[in-house]
Amino acid sequence: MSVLTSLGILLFASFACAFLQLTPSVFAIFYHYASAKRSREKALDFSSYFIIGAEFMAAIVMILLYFVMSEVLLTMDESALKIARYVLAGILAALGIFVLLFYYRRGEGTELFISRKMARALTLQAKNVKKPSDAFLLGLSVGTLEIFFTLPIYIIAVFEIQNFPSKIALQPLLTFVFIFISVIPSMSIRGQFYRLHRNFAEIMRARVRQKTFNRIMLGASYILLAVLLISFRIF
Amino acid sequence: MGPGEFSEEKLAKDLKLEAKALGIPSGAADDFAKAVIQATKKKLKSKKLITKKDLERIVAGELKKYNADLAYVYQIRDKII
Repeated sequence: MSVLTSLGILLFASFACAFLQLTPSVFAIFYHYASAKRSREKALDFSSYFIIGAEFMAAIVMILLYFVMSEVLLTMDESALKIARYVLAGILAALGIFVLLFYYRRGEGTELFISRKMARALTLQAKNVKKPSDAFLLGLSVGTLEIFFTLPIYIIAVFEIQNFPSKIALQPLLTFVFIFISVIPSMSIRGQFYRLHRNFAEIMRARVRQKTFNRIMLGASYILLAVLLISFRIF
Repeated sequence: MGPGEFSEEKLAKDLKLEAKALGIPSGAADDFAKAVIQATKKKLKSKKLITKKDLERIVAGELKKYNADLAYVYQIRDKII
């Protein structure tokens, strides 16, 4: 039962990760301009470095969390653990409400809540990728900027993955799957560019159409995670 | 968005880059850019100052006559993140 509950919580945690929009937005700009400045194959090659950069960031955070949680959890008694879970559930619920109200700015594009200065800097960085290392660093920095939204999800994921039996390498496998999920939206955009031959205009029109759906799914995932945490891990 | 200077070279460069990324042949992209710049210059003649937003609206409006995808990308290129 506990493992099944953990699997359910992990599923919603991965939903939340898959609906985050900063990384796919930056990726779409990066790929669009990369394909303007170099061959299709080279652009595809560069995009792999971006994805590896984003995955690398997720992996670092997850590994750090495993280390911190294995140390911290040993020192915490049951009541402290309960308070920590309440705080986490509160953060998740707050993020869910924030996403539902403010995640996207009003207007014709897919502008996010982040400051315009930061958005311009990111757009410029995404437009001017010259080397594979630039693409890797771009993926890494976008992963870092999204940390406020991913960290609570990663904490839950690490916590729940530890409930699985450790004998058959299930925990590292689940960690790997979870890290992979965070880059699925970017990989889907890459597939649309490269395999389906869709252009940036077609991809962006679809992303603009999906704005409300994405916002609701992301917000609902955070709120549902908070509810699951309170229902199954506190009471 | 504040006022700024209209630069033909910059606009032509931007349009050609966007067109190339969309897979529009370079000859057609050159023609679009020339036609759009001419039309934009005509519309700007009577104005001493123009905001970046207004300029983008005029350019996008002109671009729409030639290629809807290029016009759309030009219009939203700074509204993605």
